[in-house]
Amino acid sequence: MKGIVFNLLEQVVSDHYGADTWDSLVDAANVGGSYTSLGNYPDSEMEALVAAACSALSLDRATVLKWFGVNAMPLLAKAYPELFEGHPDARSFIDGVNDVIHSEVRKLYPDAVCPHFRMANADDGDLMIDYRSSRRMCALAEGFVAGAAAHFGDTVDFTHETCVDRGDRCCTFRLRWMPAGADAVAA
Amino acid sequence: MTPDVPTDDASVIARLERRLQRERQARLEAESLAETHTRALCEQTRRLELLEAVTAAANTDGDPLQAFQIALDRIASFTGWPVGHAWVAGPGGVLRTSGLWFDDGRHELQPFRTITRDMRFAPGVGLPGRTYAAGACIWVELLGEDPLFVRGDVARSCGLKSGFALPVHAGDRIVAVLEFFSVRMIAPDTELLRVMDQIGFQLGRVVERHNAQRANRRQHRKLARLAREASAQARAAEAASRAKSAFLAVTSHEVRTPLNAVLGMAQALSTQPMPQDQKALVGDILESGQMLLRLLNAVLDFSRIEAGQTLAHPEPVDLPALVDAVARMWAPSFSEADVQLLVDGKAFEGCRPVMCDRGKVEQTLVNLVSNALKFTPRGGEVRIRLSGPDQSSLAHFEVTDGGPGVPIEDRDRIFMAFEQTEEGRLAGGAGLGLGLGLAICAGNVRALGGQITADRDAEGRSRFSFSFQAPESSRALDVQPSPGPVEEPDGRLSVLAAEDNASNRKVLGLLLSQLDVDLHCVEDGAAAVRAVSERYWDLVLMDANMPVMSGPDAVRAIRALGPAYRDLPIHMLTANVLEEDVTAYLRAGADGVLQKPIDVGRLFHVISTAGHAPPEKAA
Repeated sequence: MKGIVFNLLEQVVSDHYGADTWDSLVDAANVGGSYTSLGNYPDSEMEALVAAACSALSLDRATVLKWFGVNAMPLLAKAYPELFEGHPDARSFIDGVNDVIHSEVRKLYPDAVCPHFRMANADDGDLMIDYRSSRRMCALAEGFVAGAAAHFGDTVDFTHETCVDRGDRCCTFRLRWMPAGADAVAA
Repeated sequence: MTPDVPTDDASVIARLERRLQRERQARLEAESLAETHTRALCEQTRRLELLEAVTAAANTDGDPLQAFQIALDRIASFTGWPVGHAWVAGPGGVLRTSGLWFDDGRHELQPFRTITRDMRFAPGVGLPGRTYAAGACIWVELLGEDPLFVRGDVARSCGLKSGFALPVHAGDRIVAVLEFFSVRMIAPDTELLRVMDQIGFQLGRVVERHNAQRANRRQHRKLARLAREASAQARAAEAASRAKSAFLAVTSHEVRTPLNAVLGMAQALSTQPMPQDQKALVGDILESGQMLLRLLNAVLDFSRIEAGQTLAHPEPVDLPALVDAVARMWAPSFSEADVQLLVDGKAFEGCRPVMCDRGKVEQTLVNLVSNALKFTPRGGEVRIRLSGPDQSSLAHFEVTDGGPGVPIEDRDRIFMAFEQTEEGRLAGGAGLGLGLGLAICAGNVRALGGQITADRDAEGRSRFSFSFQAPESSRALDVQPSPGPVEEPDGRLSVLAAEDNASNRKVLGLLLSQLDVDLHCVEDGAAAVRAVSERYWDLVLMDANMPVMSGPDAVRAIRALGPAYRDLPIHMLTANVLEEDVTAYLRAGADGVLQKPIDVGRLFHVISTAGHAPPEKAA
């Protein structure tokens, strides 16, 4: 996993709980802790850090990852505003995750292994997304969607229809855009 | 979530130091990545520059060898390999040196260069040959130890360690192999080889373009040569045709002068009393002479047509009367040949005359009738049919004969000069064996704005038809000056003739002895001018070509003598009667032109009109 993801995690944790907390997570996870954005680091280090956060917060992995995704999105918007500009809403932004966002990611990080999301428009206007990855980061994806919706001021109803955690072969998400004013997806 | 951490200074410092350490570590790693990426980027840029330089050279250089040299220099300096050389492929794919080298001047390489210069590599043999056969780059890591590298020993002794070669593809052939050697042992570099592959194709384009241009130039030269030959042939053909006409015109002119004498003498002789059998002989001489004259006239007409000098001079013409006159003229010949001549003018409407060129219509009809007679066997029949004018004011003539007709493939050809069918050649026809008759018809009809064709009628008989514009004339028929009885002039006419040829003078004298004329002859133009200035004359007859001063010059000189000489009748009497000559005479001041051999009727007509001119005393 590219170092930037670790940098984001450090940033989010430090912003919400302080740098000391991050230090303790690093110690608890027994990892090196120094991540440069362009570097490559084992996925296991990320898992270890997430596990350390779970036990420190008494939350499950999915909740931690989701919290991370929601709060990482504003940081990304600040660091790479050009990826967000030009999209009228979150749906347009999410539509371009494969072609636009990940291709930009690969320009900076040529060896990044980004997951591919299979997207389809359902008959009722909902957006169906397939997620397959050995990293099993579906909760992070849900967090990113919620973060994007918040950034664009949209309200999205995210349903995790199938999940590998529940024994399904892959994860599928159903995204339904709610009219403005409805409750935003809980962060 | 804030954990319980010691807050004493030492612990805080320790924590901060650890954080700092992590930061430093991340920074170092980042810098290392940056350096790696920068180096990679630089390499890529250099590779692109190399490719760009070779491509630019390939695109602009016309000379493949020049492009190869540039490639050798660039690749060698890019790679840092000190030796580069180019092989060119010959017949059978055998590679020989192009003589192009890159080296940085190391003397130790001389033996390697020498041995390379004299070698030839067949496909599959040695580094160059193997590269040729594989069509791809080949790398030799250690030259001295690779048994397939033929020059291994010499290379080793010169300090060369590694080498690679790249093929130059032009289309589907390999036209050259470039090889490079280094003095260090270097492992194969796949990135480098990828660029070299591309370079091989780029260089090939120079060769392709060069070959295409050479082929183009060859083609162009061939086309230019063919065009030159074609135009030379066209000019030669034109010149030959013009020469033919000029020859005919000149010959006819040269023949006219003595013919004038023959006809004149014979005519004079025929008026003298003699026994019947002698009279018959004289008649034969006259007839043959007149036939000769007709031939000459045909040649002259044709040369005029060829020179494009025929214009139609329309006048009111009674076409039925013209047909009748032609029929009457030919009646004796037809009855002698036992061929029937039928005239059908019933399909022609209108009593009013039509505007057309009488002479051309008559000559065309006469030529066709003459041909028809020649080709129709005894007991056969020739029909002349006149019809029209139709809605387009076209009058139609048809002459059908009993002859074999013209084969379809010849029908266009025969109207061209000197062209005849086989039968035509044998029979003679109106061209009298020269093939001019129909060409004259065609030229006349062209001038009349009409068309002439050869085909068969509904009964399968051979038919020649021509049509021309014949609008109704508003004018009445011109009264033709008849060469009939001559009006006696008042008193003896004094006539001055300038003629350098003695027999022509004699003929003139004989002809005019029938009239009451006082004839004086001079032998050149200057003498004529002198004679005119010294005394009065009723008429001057002037030959054109004379020594000392020519006819036209003499006419000009006479007119310039004074206003009194403007009205002096001067007629040219000459064999030179091409249209440009006639124009020149009239411009010089002549009143008219009499053709030699002399038409007696016209001569008498001129004399009779001269006699009516009011006498002018010389100044």
